[in-house]
Amino acid sequence: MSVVTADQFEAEVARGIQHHLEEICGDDDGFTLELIAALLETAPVTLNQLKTAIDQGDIVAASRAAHGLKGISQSMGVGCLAAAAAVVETSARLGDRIAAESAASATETLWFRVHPILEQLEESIRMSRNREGEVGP
Amino acid sequence: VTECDAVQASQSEEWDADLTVRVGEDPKPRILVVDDFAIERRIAGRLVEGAGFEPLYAANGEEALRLTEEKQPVAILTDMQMPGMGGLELVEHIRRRHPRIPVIVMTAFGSEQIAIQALRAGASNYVPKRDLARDLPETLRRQLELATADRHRRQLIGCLQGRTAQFELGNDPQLFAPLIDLLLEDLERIQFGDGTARIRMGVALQEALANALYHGNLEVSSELRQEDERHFHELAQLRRHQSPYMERRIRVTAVMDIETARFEITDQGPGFDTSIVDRPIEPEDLLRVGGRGLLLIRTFMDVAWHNPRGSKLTRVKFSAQPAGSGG
Repeated sequence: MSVVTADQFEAEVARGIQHHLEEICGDDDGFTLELIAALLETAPVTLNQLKTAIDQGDIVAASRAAHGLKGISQSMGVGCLAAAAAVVETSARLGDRIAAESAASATETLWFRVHPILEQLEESIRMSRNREGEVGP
Repeated sequence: VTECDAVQASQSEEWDADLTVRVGEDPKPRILVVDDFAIERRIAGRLVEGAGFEPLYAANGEEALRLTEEKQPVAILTDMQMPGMGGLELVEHIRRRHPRIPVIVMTAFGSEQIAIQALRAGASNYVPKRDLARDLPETLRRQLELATADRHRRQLIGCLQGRTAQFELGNDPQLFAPLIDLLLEDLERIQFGDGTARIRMGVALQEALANALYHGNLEVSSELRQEDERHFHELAQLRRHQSPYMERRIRVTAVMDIETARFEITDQGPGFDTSIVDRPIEPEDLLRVGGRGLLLIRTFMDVAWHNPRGSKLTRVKFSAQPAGSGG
């Protein structure tokens, strides 16, 4: 049985996002940065909506917010976050508030790990662009 | 301007708008992207652009319907779960209002059931969100090829000037309705008359075919019908399986063009004295059970009307009983 370390996890997630964004954006670093910034902005808002809905016992709103988070995570290639959000969505849809709450908490924890990966990716793209700008015509 | 051009020009506004997009001064065909998340719209929009289309954006179903009316996209790409009008409802609306605009749904994993519902409701395809970059461009291209082929087929049909058809039927009245449908469809494609005129022709054809079957091939008198409708149908049913009636056929020849539609319906019965029916229509004819068919045929088919596209007087001749045949 193999054990995935934190570093391996981060590397794997970063690879997944990079590969996915390359497919969408090609060489367009500006668009890649725009998408990363959009996810960094949208995901916390959606997570907050999710938490609020669960706190208020609004299982329908919770399911909808989880579905949204699942969608944007999938579209950005953050498979682990999409999978976690899917558990929240399913639990909420089944009306299992306790499971939804627990899954939402796990999703938030996961987001706290994905967030710096996205920031690092953003930073490395910026630096790469700056370097190209220095040597370019 | 050729006749064909004129026919094309009279197509619906939707079609005209579509053509403008397709063959005008090189604007890109538009794809409407519908998603409540801006980030998803941007991703899908970028892929749409990359595939050679112009993306339009809507955040929900209501906005999508409005933009569809205004901008006439060639296809719609939509998320399924959105606040307000969701993807499923949107698919149903588009199918009703714009049946020629294909809808492709984007699905997140775990939403397969909703995707199936959407396909059943009329969506033409689906793309998983996780594979959007890989699958969407190709799906859009294929979808557009199909839509283009359909448009070209309609253009071709718009150029149809006439059609001749021949059928030989057994004594099965169940084939009458589909045959008439088929003929009326052709008349509509040729743009022969208006809807009412075509319906009246359908009624006349129905009566003519019934005459050919019951009074011609099966030789069941309309007098029997005056006495008791049941006896009439029982005898007809019996004779459908008896010689010589069962061997007889009904031949239908339709020669249709934009000015004239001529239908010739020939049965293989012994014929009858046409002078009985070849007289002016009397008010009491409306009350008779037998003979009503010929009255309808004469009323609806021997008519003169103006072509809606011009002032040309068109005469529709109906030949229910060619020489030597009855019906």
